[in-house]
Amino acid sequence: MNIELITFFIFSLLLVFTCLKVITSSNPVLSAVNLVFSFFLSAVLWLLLGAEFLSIILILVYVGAVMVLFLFVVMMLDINIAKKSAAYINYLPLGIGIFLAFNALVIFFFVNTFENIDYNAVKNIEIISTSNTENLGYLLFTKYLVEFEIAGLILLLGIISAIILTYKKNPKNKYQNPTSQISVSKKDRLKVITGLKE
Amino acid sequence: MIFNLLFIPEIILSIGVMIIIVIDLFLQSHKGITFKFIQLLLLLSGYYSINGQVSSIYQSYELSEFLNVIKFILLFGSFIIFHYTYKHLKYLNNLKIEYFTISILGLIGTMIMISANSMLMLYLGIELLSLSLYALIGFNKNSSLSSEAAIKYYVLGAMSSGILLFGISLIYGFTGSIIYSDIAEVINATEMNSVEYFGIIFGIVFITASLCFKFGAAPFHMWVPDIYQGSLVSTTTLLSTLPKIAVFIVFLKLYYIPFISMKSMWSDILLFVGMLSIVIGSIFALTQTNIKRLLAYSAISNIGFIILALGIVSNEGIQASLYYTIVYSLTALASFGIITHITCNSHGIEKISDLSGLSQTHPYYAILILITMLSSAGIPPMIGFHAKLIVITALIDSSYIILSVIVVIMTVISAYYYLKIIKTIYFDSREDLISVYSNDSLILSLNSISLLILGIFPYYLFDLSSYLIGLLFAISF
Repeated sequence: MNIELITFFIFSLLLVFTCLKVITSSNPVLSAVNLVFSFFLSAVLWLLLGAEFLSIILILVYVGAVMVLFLFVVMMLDINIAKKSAAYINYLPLGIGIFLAFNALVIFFFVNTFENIDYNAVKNIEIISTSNTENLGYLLFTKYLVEFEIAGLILLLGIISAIILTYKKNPKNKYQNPTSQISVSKKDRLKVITGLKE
Repeated sequence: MIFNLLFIPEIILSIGVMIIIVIDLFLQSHKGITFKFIQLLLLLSGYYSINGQVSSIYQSYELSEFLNVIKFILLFGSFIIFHYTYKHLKYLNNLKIEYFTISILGLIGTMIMISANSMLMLYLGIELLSLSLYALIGFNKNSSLSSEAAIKYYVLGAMSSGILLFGISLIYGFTGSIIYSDIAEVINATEMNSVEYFGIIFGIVFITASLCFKFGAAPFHMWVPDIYQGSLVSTTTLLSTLPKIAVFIVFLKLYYIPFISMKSMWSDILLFVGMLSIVIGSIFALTQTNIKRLLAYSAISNIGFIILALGIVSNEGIQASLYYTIVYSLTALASFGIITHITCNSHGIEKISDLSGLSQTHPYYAILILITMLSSAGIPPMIGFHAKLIVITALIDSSYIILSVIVVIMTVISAYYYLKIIKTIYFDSREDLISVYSNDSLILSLNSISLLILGIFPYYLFDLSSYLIGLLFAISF
């Protein structure tokens, strides 16, 4: 057993453990922290595959941005720590059944067929340098340019729908109206009163 | 044209969306002008899609004559949907131009889906479409049903996207490519019972499950009634036409081009899914009292017909499925379009009993509903009869006798609830206030009456669909 395989097994076991903690722990903060751990561990698995750019992006985007935001939201909301309900126990056999059936299928197909096989279908990838980042950038802006643009459209759609779903104009709020503030003239504010007698 | 650009319809729509977002800010009080601009945009894009280029310069994006016609159908359909939507939203005092920008982005998603020639492009198109649908379903913020439907569809849709990606990754891992034509070559070359063979089967099963979810077919149909009920009627109109056409074309392109040599594997799955959809859609609709839920189950059974016709794997089957898709979209547009026009007690129509006595107050609308319901039930002079007939004929030609008998029985059962709506309209007395809020029903009338006219002359549409299939496939199966 070489060192790479040992590292893989250690980290994937930890990954499975943290993923289980995410869905079983009753405290949402704990779940979120475990999710952060699971992202770190999957980043290590990416590194083992030699995909250093993707692993760093995973940490930067998911851990650095998404999960921190998520933790803030969880901490700001007043969430009661959920107790394990009866439904949890009721659905447990079904879940275990689906899990076992799925895994049995995967094992049946893949373990039998993959024994002692050295097979790689992915052949023609253009590699221009040893750096992952450079290769990805090259592919993204040449071969997959249209796909890249469509991803931009998806982001635009995300922005519009997030705004439309959350924005609500509250009529009680006090707004400043800069246009009317600027266009105000002396007449509107000052009133010269003449002809007063003491 | 002097300049020879590719992707013109898509580019017009994408740039148009950005312009609409900006001009809507300045024309807050004149939404009608912005809406006219949106309609112009759709017409322009439709003109360029019917006169579009045919090119294979970009490997993962197909620009063919067949797809140009389908894109035109999509754009034309969304033109009609937007027409209904505008009036409906205006009546509900919920008119926001953002509704249309989100819909147009979803429309671009459907165009990308059908043009996709690679798995990556397909996934991006499906994501663009689903994201816009999540937002549209949750658009009615005053209703808790709408939010519930949006959350439900979001969670299930994200899971089905994950399953799709898992299937795609298996296909990529075992064939080494995401381009359809390359996948087809590799699959043709694989031997039975080799490593790759099992892996590819696995991938196809996952992709099928995910696409059936997006289609709303039977074992994955749980979301359909809830989401149809929860969202606005205009969203339901959109939900029951555009994504269905797009997913159908994806089915056609995926299963009949890259996966065709695996047909012994997937044809049984599709036949089973189609059969189950017809049975569930026909039987579960019997007890529904909400008209949107009822039409949702009717949609499930119609989808069942399309998938069944796809699973036959014969020329007649493919033609029948395309014909059925076009007919189903027309019928769904008409039936949901009428519901967007009618209100009861100044709310939208919810229950079937809300329609009672419509024939006395609004006899014209009653006739329109009569035509669409008879067409859905498959009663002869309407187009729905021919659509069902062609599917059943294709089944019998491929000697699936038992299946065709079950289909006929289910059609008879489903006729019950369509006739129940007609009975409510014509024979029940009125208790509450029912009104039609729009004087202008030209497009709606044309839409409904086309079901009758095309039913009397069914061969125009049939010639169109066989011509389109001839464009897509030079070979026969």
